[in-house]
Amino acid sequence: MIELRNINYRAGDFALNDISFSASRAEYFALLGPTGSGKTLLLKILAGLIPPSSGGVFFDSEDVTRLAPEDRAFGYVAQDYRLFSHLNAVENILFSPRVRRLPDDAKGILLGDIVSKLDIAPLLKRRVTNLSGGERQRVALARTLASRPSLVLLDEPFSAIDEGLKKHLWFEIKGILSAAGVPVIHVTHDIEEAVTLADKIAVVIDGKIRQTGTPKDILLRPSSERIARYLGIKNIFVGRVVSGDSRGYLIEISGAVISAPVPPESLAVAPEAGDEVTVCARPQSVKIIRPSEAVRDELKENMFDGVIVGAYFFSDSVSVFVKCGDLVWEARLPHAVYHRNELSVGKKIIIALWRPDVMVYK
Amino acid sequence: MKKNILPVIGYLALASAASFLLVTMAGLFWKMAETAPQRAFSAHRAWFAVRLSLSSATLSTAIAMVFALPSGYVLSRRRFPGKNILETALLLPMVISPVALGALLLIFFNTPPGRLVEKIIGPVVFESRGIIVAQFVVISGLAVTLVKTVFDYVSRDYEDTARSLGCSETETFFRVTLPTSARGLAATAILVWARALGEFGATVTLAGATTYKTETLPVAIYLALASADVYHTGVLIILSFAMAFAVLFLLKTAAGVRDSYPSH
Repeated sequence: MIELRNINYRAGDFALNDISFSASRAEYFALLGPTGSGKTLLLKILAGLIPPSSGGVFFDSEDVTRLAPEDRAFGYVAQDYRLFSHLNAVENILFSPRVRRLPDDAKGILLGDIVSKLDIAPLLKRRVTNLSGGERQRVALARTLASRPSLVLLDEPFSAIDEGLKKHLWFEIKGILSAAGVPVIHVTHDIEEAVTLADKIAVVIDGKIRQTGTPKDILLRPSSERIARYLGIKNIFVGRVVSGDSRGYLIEISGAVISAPVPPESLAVAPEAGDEVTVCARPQSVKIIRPSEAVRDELKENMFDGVIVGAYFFSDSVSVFVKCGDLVWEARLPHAVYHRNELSVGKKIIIALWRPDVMVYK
Repeated sequence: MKKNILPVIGYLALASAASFLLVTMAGLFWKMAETAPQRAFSAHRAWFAVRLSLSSATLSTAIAMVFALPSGYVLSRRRFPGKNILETALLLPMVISPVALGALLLIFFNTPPGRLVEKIIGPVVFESRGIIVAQFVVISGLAVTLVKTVFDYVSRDYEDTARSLGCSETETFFRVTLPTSARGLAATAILVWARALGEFGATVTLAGATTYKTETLPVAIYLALASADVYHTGVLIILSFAMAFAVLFLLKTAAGVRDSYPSH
């Protein structure tokens, strides 16, 4: 188990503040946050490349804070992989075994094992400058695995990969690392990448861990408006609590009344009647209601008449903007739903918010 | 459409520089043709000057690079009090007159610490060893500054990766930093060597201008010109040009120092 305890670090105007988290051996752990939030710095502290100002790094309960990087056996894969351009692919892979003066027969067995796992035999004699993004990633991963790491630290490992290939590689790389039985800490700014790959996520914003949880926790229950905004939740409105009880709240926003569930105790201070609050709803939680269709209970309390004022097409969905009174809601719909309902700009429709997903922040 | 005049200005500037060189060389040939040599040309003496120039520049460059590699690395990779002052001081030999540096060295070697240094490395003042010392003092600041700049351009991520793969900092330097920056270091060595080859002021002040002893090519040119022997001066200048061009071109080609920007 890897554990960071109260890590602090200051570099100029930027600081990491009181960072603590732990990841078990079985977990694929992601550090998610915007660019410049301190994720890479944190990864380098974990790798021993930068000493923290205070706090400790523990691996299997052993304090490794003062251990040199070469003595930690944590495989660090830098952004863009940083393959050594003066060596070919196989020389890159055998870099660590050569540094550690492994006997030739042991090197051969290790190489054979890694080459078959990553299916990279055709790449071995190639110059690394001639490899594609995906090939470079495999060679970098092979080089790291050849060092027989007890933990793999990946810094934005898919940032140099074409969008189309990226999602295919996510599962492949995770599969390879799982098969190798190595725990992973993966730094990324890509929300989809983190929620798809990770078993547990820590959200890092401005040098602090703002929330730790499963992908579902993070996506459906961001612990603050700031995280909700970072996660790209678009429907964010400021309103006032009309009433509240153990079932939830009624919140008035620009003349519309929204019904919201009580947020989990761990997430926020419970608002009271009259308090100003922020209401958030993910575009995926805004549904289109067909007049003939039976409406589920979770949708009944937040139904609004509106008119479509904009529609933007993405490769996997359509963003539809619906004006209801003074509010414009964004709904994210599958292409099929958009076309089946013959939606278009100017059309009058009914939308409903999936009540369990409505979030309230004081 | 806006006219793109920058390349035109660039080509004109290059053509002007080339023309200036050609015109001055033509002037030299013309003057050599109309003046008779004052004495018979000694190929042996000229060859000695060429060999001395080449060997002293190569040796002082080698010493300067051995000194510059760890110094440049520390300046590039570490922060310490007084670093800015030190970096500025390293640039001083490029700004201060070489004669002043030579005089400084001459005075130093006439003090007890200087005499102690001479006891350790052998006689310096008005000796061929003085050429190496003078050239080293003139080029070492340039070497350290250029080496530091080369290391600045090697991403720390390569070194971090090597550290996590089991290398100590020293192993990382030899296995990753040096090979990764080989081309830049080769270019640095060539520039430093070229500067040492042309060194005159500090050399003549510290090592003197003794025939068959401390007479490098620049010193030989100076001596020929001082005796108003235009013909000899011309021959030595042509020799200098030919030697410098040939060696620099060969080194540049061998070290693979090429354009890094794709040309139109």
